[in-house]
Amino acid sequence: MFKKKPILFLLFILLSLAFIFLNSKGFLDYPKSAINSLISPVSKPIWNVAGKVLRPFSFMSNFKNLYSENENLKNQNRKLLAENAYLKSFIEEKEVLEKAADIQKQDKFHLQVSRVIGMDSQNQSGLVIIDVGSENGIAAGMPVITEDKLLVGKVTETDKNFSKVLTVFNPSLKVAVKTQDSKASGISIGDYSKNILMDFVVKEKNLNQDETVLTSAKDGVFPEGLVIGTIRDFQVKPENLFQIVNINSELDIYELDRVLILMKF
Amino acid sequence: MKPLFFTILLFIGTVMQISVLPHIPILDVANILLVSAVFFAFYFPDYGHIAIFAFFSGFVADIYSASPFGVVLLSFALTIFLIDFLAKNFFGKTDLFIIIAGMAVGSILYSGFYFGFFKIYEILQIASHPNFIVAFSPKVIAVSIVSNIIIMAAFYFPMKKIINKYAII
Repeated sequence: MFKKKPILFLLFILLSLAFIFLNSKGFLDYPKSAINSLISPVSKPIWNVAGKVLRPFSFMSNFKNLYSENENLKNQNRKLLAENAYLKSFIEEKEVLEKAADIQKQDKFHLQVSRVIGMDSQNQSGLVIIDVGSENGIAAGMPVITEDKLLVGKVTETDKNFSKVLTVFNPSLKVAVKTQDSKASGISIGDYSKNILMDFVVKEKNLNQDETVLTSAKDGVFPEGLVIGTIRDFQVKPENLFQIVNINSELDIYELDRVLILMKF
Repeated sequence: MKPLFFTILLFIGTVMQISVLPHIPILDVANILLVSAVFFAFYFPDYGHIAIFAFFSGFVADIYSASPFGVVLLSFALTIFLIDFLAKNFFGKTDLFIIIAGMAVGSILYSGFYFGFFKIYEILQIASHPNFIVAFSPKVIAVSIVSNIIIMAAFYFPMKKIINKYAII
């Protein structure tokens, strides 16, 4: 059987199509949840530690002159970070829960705390995976924020025990926003980097650099007052209908550990 | 031994793919499961076992993928079939440079199938998957090819040793 390669290939294509069909009917929920139950407990701490240990190395290429001077200190720091990660996670969880309780009390949000497992396996879409799903009451469309009320994105897909969150850096997630002081309205559109474009801002509005940009709730998807970022720069060109505004986001999805899902607001 | 080896590799590969690689510049667009499947396509004589590994790799990667379910699965199945065909009929030898060339071809094929199937899903408006944009740019594809090659180069000798030591083939 194994010598008849084309037949075997067709068999696997048919099996793939069968899996696609079964998935559309929800019959693959249990196998997917079972696989996630095996992977998630390992992925969560690895994502957290990798974020703290590996991200700083991305800046080393910019500081080649200081490499020899800082090498020993960074190696030592890396070891200490890894050793302390376990203990720190308890302290961080307490802080996040306290902030979540404050948000719940102040804004009357119904929240679910979740941890980030990892990112999209193809890593080309600005999508993160979290460890709560439909069995926790999570549904597609729910906004996701950090404990500092920074908008992360919204839930796009849920399975039983994990969900996928489309972040503000993905161009397909358009958020109705407004500036805090000048009250200019617009739509934020990501471009896979930390820069977010704010479009449809009328030319008549006088914007200020470093002005905070918040959600305006005009899209009916996100509540008002969630932080997107601050204005980095803006351009008014005569040939354009609207101003070109660039927002600098404070959100670092690679360092995300715990997020809050707004189940009711 | 073989099923255990593949299962462990699949588990480690998935965890690395979603939790470690995103933090590493350049390597964040690599596909470690694809690299493994292409490696086995060159080393294993039996297409059946390679196809099973590719199928389950595609399935697990699809679970954690932003694209509609099935895009990654079908892309893996088609890519590995073609790479196996090329490896057995054109490449012949299995030294590092040949496998790196195979990895480059595999990456190009996979990218083509991935975005092709994604566009088909969009056109057919299959299921209730929200319409979203995936970063389809020559630059991203080029970087992913390079990063896959880097991982293959790093993967090659240790994997060869493990396969020989435990007589996996």
